[in-house]
Amino acid sequence: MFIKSKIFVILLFGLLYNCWSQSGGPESNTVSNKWDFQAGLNNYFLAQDYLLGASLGAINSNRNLSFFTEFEIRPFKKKVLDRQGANLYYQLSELRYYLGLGAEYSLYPKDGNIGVFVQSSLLYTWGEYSGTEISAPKGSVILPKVGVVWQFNSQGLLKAGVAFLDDHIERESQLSLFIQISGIIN
Amino acid sequence: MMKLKFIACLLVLLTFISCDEECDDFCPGGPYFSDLYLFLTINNENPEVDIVIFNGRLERGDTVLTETVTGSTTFELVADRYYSVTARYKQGNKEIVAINGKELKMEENDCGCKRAKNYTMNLVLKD
Repeated sequence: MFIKSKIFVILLFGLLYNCWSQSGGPESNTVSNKWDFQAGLNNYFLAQDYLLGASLGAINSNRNLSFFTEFEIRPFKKKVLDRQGANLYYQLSELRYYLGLGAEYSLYPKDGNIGVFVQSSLLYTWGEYSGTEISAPKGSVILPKVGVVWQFNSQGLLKAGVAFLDDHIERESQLSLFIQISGIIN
Repeated sequence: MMKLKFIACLLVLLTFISCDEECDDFCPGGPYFSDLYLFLTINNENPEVDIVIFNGRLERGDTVLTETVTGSTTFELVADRYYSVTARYKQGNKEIVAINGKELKMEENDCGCKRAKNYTMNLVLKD
């Protein structure tokens, strides 16, 4: 799982570098290299699950590229079943956290303020069960996202899309609705 | 006359903005007790449920009390401690032990005295 994650991240950053080069490149004089601070509030709506979190990072609005760190938390205890024997199950109350790094490339039509984005993060997830020392699953996960971005003013962005959270946790679906509101501080 | 009315109004106002509770010189000593309300599933398969409350985590095995209950129940426990609770259910041919835990914390009142907070704990069977 970890090797797959590393390959994915190398490919992702290769793709982002390619996008960056095509949108001006490091030698270009026409595209600004100015990076601004960006902060966002993240929401993931999963099947019988929900994650709330924040992103902090840097954005180059002219290249439509951003790099960020993100932290997500499930703000409630989720009930999970853990098989202990042939017919014996523990119903555990799980808290879960995610922390990692990500990158995003967005594309806008000429003079438009609604575009599309592709984003991916490499996260480390861990958890804990209330009332017991049984260890909860942990490990690295990839979180790719794709969706629509609306730049509603010069400093505000609203994103809505689909995320695929393959964290090996029992769910009806790994797909989630992703909504993020973020601000750019120039 | 106007002056008297003004003073009366001022007194009424002061009554409303003064402290709600009068503070004693000393705070009452412990031990302090919290109410822990357990949410449980009671159905045809589980008309009564076996509850075990542990001091600390389950693995420590420090049993505080064992009881069979027929509905969601409140237990009075010594505050400022972490408790784990198990509820044993039947579901078809499965046996499910619901486990949860919580620290019953203290808080300070307006007089700066400690008091125990009350808590709830969810041990309802998963859908």
